[in-house]
Amino acid sequence: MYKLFLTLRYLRKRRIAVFAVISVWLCVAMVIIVGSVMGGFLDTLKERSRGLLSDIVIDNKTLQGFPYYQDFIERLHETMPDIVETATPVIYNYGILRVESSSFTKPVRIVGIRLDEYRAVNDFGNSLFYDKYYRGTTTLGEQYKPFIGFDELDTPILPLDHEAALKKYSLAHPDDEQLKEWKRLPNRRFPGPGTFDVNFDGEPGYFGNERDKAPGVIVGCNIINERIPETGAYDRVYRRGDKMILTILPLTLSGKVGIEGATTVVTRLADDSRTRVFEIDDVCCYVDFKRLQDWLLMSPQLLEDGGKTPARASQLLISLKPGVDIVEGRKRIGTEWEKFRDLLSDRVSRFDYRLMQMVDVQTWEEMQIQFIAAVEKERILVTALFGVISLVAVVLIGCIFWMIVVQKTRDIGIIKSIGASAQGVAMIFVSFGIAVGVLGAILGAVSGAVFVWYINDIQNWLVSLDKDLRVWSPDVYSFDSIPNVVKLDEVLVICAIAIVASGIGALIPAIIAGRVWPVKALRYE
Amino acid sequence: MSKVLLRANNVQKRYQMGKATLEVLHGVSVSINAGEFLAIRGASGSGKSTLMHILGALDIPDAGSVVYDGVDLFSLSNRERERIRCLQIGFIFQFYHLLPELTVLENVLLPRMVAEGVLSWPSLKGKAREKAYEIVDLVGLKNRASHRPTELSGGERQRAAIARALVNSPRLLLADEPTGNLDRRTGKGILDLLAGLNDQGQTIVMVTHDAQSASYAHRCVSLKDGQITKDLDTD
Repeated sequence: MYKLFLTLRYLRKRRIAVFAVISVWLCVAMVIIVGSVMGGFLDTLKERSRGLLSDIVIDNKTLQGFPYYQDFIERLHETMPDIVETATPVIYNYGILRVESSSFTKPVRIVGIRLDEYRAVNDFGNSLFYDKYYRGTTTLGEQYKPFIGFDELDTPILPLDHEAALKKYSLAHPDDEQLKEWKRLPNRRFPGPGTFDVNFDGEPGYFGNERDKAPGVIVGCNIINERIPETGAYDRVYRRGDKMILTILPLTLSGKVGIEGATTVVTRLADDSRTRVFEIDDVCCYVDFKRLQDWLLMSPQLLEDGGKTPARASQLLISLKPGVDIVEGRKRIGTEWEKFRDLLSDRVSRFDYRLMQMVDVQTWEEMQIQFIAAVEKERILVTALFGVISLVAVVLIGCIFWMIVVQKTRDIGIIKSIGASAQGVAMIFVSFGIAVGVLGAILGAVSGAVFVWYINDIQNWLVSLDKDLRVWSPDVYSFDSIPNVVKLDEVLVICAIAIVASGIGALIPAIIAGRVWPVKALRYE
Repeated sequence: MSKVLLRANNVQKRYQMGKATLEVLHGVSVSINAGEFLAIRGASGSGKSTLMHILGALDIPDAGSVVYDGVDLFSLSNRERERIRCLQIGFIFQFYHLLPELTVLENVLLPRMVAEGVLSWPSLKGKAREKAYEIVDLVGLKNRASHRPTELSGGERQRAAIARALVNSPRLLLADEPTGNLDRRTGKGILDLLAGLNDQGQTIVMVTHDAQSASYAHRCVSLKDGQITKDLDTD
């Protein structure tokens, strides 16, 4: 009983132990903060990667792509309806974007998608701005520009389909604070979501002649919008339906630029996409799959012998049915692809067969493995580094306990003279160390968790003092806010390590205390 | 005839002081009967404190044996010896040796806590506190029970140390210069207290260099250069 009693009493009375508690506290808080931010960064990265790809990705990593993708999709639906939910082809290539009304140009990655299917295989739909408020109005097909008009009181009104969609959204989201702020008033510009052109004659709608019709493009939100640093919101400079000029370079099968050279196409801004991954939002433009296929000459092309080349796609994205093991799914689809390819081996050109041979069937995680593994290693490295730094706390505890043992030598003699064993005396100091660890771990866990939860508010407060104090730049770190999720299991592990480390820190002084010869201790001055 | 409670047989002890060997005890033999009040007298450096430490199993002799209640203390394991020291022997030191972080009552309770495990303590705590209060009252510190040692006078501290030594009802009380750090009047009070305890049957071995203190004992053993030179009844 005396061990517990003296441990608690020393914890209360030995003020020097406060320094040990503080060192454990700071170390635990530091490791929790670093681990949570880095872990959150990794989790967000994984979540976004998965959200922007799909469960399984089939890709041959060439700009020429691979043929017979549609046949394979149909084969998948036929042969494995138990695991395949949806599959969609994607084309990616590179080009230049220019807004018609300006000389602004930017190199972009052009992604050809079947919008409805693409939305079904991943979270892309949730990244669309206009589609959120005006559901159903975003399309990649031919379209006119929408105009705002005015009612009899000169209050701005949207085209009918936009008004209906916005009304539907506001009914479904009565708690949306922004909607309450967007109060429309007479003789004022439209305050609601998005930027629209104005028909000063009064009627809202879609206007223009056949020449004004152009296919839609969804543009990554960092490409055309300006971010307001204070709020993190985007200022939509360009209006919905503004003309965006895309310049692309179609390649021949042999990988050379086609004889017609670059192709310039006019598109209309249908929406902007904010996936919250900077590398995507800063470069990607999405157009209709079939159109891009045509523009890039990846659609069937007439051959000199009268035959046709097969249509090609860069990627196939496949989502699996709920509950299907993703690795198992990848294996089955991979085997199916090999069977499919071998079946076609004597019917396709040698070049097409080679393109098909280069195809990899991967899970989303395997596809991103290099990037994810790098961040994962970084996280382990940084956490380990801070863990090593935390060893300082163990040494500090050792030093402090050594001092306490020296100071308490006579007390140790007294305790031994009344019958306490060497192990019992050692246990007092080990328990004292563990108690220091428990107290430091609790304080560190609470303060670390609170810091992580409010880390973005803390940064915002620092930025309000001085803009140079911004430590997390969304441009650099891909995400617009610092990850602020604290994982209970990780906190418990960190606390357990801190408690054990504190016990270890106190161990050597405790053993020394246990070995103190009582007669010598009682004579100790 | 009273039963022998403790007997030292030909106890020898030497210390290594650098390269020199210091012979402290040269074959000391002494018996202490149950209920006896024995004084061990000697000048400073005569080996009396070393002898007391060996009698109380705090120190180990280089040769010889100490038999307590028929059991050779140094043939026992450390744990068994610690158990005897906890339950059978009470120590009183010249410099009191109270734990400064604890109150008088807590200091007195500490040997009881050492004797009990963490599981049995909750059920015994009430009784143990009650007994500790009784002993604190017995030594005249009832009103000082919640005071810390630094808030007490020298005499009060020694009374607290006596109370601590008595809490486990030991059969043997070993006192090392219990009045050595006190003024004559306060020292007399402590000696009266010890004499009173002895009257109630408590066996006491007191180490002292002071003849007046030794006169409280029934028997006085004189130690010189690590050897017993006199063994006299003082009654």
